[in-house]
Amino acid sequence: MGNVLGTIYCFFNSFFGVNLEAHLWGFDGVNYSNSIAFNAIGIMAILTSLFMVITYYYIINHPRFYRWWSWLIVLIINGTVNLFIGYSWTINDLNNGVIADSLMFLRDVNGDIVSELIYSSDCWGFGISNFILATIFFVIFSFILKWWSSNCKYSPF
Amino acid sequence: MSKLYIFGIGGTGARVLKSLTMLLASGVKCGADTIVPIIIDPDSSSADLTRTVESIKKYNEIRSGLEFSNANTCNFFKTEVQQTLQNFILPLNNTRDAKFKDYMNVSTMGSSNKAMMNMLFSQKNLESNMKVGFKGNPNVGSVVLNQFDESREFADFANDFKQDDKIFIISSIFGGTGASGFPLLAKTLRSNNSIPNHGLINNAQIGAITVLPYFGVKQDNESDIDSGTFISKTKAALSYYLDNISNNNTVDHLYYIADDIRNTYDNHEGGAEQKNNAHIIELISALSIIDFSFSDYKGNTVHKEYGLDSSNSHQIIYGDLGQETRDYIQIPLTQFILFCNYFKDVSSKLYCTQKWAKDSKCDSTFFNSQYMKTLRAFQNDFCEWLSEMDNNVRKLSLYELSNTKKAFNIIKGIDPKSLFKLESNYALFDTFLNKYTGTPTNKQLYFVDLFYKATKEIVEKKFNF
Repeated sequence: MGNVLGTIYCFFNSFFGVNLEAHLWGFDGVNYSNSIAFNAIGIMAILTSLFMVITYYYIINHPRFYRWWSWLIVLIINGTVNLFIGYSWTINDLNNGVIADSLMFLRDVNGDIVSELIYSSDCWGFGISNFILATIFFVIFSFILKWWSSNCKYSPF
Repeated sequence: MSKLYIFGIGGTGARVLKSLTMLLASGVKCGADTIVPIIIDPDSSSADLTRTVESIKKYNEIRSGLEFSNANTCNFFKTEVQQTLQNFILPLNNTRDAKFKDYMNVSTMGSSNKAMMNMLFSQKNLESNMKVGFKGNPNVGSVVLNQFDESREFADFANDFKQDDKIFIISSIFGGTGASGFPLLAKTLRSNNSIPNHGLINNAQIGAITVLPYFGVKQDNESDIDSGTFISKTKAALSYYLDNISNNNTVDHLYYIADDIRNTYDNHEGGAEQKNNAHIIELISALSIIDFSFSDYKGNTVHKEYGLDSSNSHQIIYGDLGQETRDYIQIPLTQFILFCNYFKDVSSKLYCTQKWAKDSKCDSTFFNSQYMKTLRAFQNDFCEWLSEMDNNVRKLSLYELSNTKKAFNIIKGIDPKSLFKLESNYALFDTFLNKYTGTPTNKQLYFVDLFYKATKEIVEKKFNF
């Protein structure tokens, strides 16, 4: 997977900022030696989306739950689940002090904090990025897998 | 390609043919590839007759769009119903708007012949207008109907007759047309050697059903029809049949059917007002044709009667019918009522967007086509036919016909099985339909075949038939 997923997430880094991005790339304050969180979160987004697509097209597979809005409901549920995965992952790192100090704070020469560099709003921003990415995965999987669904082949269209 | 020529004589003949049409539409298997209905009834305006003719025409219109091949498993509308006569009616000469005395040319007879006529026929008989048939007078019918073999249409039938084709005659014994027409026709078929192909016809396998009284009519002094005479007429005719049909083996199979629980209809001599509700007796009579179609027996007359498993029931459900009857009709009729109910209960907006419809490009244009309108009209006839039997005496109450919108709670006395599925009701029906989708070359056949396959699986899985 390498850096592919991280690179994709970085298309949306305006939502969550470069400092949180660096942390998620595995920056420990000195080097990029930690594991890349983008990969774990991205794989979770892929698997969740795949699971939701399979559930919609093959497990629920209901002849009364096949409209475009039925598909949209599942898409939104999938996106929301991934929004909270992205948010909770990053907010945990933020609250537990896992993020390198140099990424968290801007300090003066005395070491006093001048300003915070990562806020909880950045975590929500990452959650939204994850929502968007999971939605893209959901759409891709839908168009690959829908053709063999016995009841929902024409969902969303 | 064997043919079964079915002569339906009188009002009962027409009504039995209607029941047969409904059975064949639902896929009840017939031993003949083609049936050829020939209706003999001077009362061409009778509502019973016109309703039957309309139903058969719709059947043919639907079937003509299906292009059956050996690869098709579909049994809906499978048996061909061939039309050889206009409105399936064998024309009778000089009966339209004619009084019996004019038909007989009584006015030109000498005094001795007139005296003979007055001895054989009452004044009421002689003054009787034959526009609406023989009004329960077999003595009149036996004279007027003694002309079968004279018409061009009868010659056409005889010319068309092939080796292994069969003949079946439907008649009632307690009226005028059927009671008199049956022995005359049977005699003509068996012994007339001046008709074309007489060698084949005289030796053909012939079956017949004689329907004994199964309804009465209200007393009306203005009417020539009096149901108080039904039993005495029946006895007289049975005695005649014994000597002239059974004892000389004129027919190979003779089916008798009767019922001692009877409805009383309004007293109409004929015409557009003669519109009797469909009756279980007519359905069972139609089954005698199916039974005959599978038989290859030829020889001394075999007599058959019909019995119910529980004879005292005024309301017949499947459990009251014998196993053989259930084997014939239970699966096909259930499949067809499921087919009919789907379009009554599911909105077009919903079914047009189902996978089975989209895969085959069955869109609103298809569902609004003349073909589909005819199919829907036939389905309405089918439901009306079941409903009429349900409202008659005795009641044949096989299905829940009120609009419950419940797809599977339709068979009286039989609860559907629960399946381990998320879907229920018509959503489950659509799931079965969606399993059999494909890209059709013939949309009409695809559509009817799809419903046949899906309903077949439904009756297997939900009802264990």
